[in-house]
Amino acid sequence: MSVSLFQFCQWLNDTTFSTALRESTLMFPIVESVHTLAITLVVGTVAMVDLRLLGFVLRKEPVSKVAGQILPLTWIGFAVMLISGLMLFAAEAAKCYHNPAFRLKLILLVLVGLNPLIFHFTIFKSVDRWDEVPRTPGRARLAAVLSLSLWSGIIVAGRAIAYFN
Amino acid sequence: MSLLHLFHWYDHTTLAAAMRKSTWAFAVVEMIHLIGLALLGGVVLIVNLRLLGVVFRGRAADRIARELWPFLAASVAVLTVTGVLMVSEETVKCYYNTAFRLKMLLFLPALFLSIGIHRRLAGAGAQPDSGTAAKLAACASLALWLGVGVAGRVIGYL
Repeated sequence: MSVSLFQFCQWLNDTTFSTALRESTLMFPIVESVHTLAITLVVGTVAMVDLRLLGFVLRKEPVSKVAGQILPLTWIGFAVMLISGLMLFAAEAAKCYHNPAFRLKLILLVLVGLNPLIFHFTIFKSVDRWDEVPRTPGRARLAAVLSLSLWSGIIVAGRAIAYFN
Repeated sequence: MSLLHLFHWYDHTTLAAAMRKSTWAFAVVEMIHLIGLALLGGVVLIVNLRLLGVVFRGRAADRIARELWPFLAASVAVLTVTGVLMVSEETVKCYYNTAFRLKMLLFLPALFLSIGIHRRLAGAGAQPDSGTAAKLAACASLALWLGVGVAGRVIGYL
């Protein structure tokens, strides 16, 4: 017997945990606020690395050093964002399934994950050659622009979820 | 003229009326506000963590502060403009909203402290004094901005 994605969402939606979170007057807003602040941490720190790649900030710092110093903070934010995001999803899984903004956000999240993956295994391999230059190669700057655009899109889509509910 | 008068006056402006009339204006403005918030968060975090010696230890702090300054200014400008536009939705309600009041109370010291930190760092040379006072200022700045963010989120719940 195959279980559809919607059936899974409906099941998740109806678990005791999800129901309790959805119906709580305090927990849901707290988780939502934590999620918002975690996104700020993720996007704010990623933006700093992207702006370095574009040559706008931290120009004299080697790219690898900027990434090494800032990205651990991003990962902390990412963990909090993921856990709080999954909790919010669980609480409203059935609604989210039909929500176009939620679907768009998921697609953008996949793309925003692919971007640094591709970046890391291609242009970043030659970082030794352009680590110290203020203006990085075109491919690196393209990755930065994509990252800034996609993360902005995720913020917009994420906020829009509530408008479609 | 009292502050309440100012909010009443703003409520009656053409701008506020246009914001309320539009279906998507508030949503779009709020999204821009959130993107600005992320940028501000990044700048504030990096500068204060440098002051605390957590990141870029040993790297020129004056240069970092100078290079991030335009992004602090730009994000605060975007946040202020979009923030003022968002108030138009429920002008007088905002005036009485405890979270809104708290946010504004925290926002001013947060902003002035950040400006002060940037100015101090920019003129302090590559290796600034990172004594207790500087570290306290960095912690206070982070705490104030976090308070602004949390209070901002709570406005919608009250």
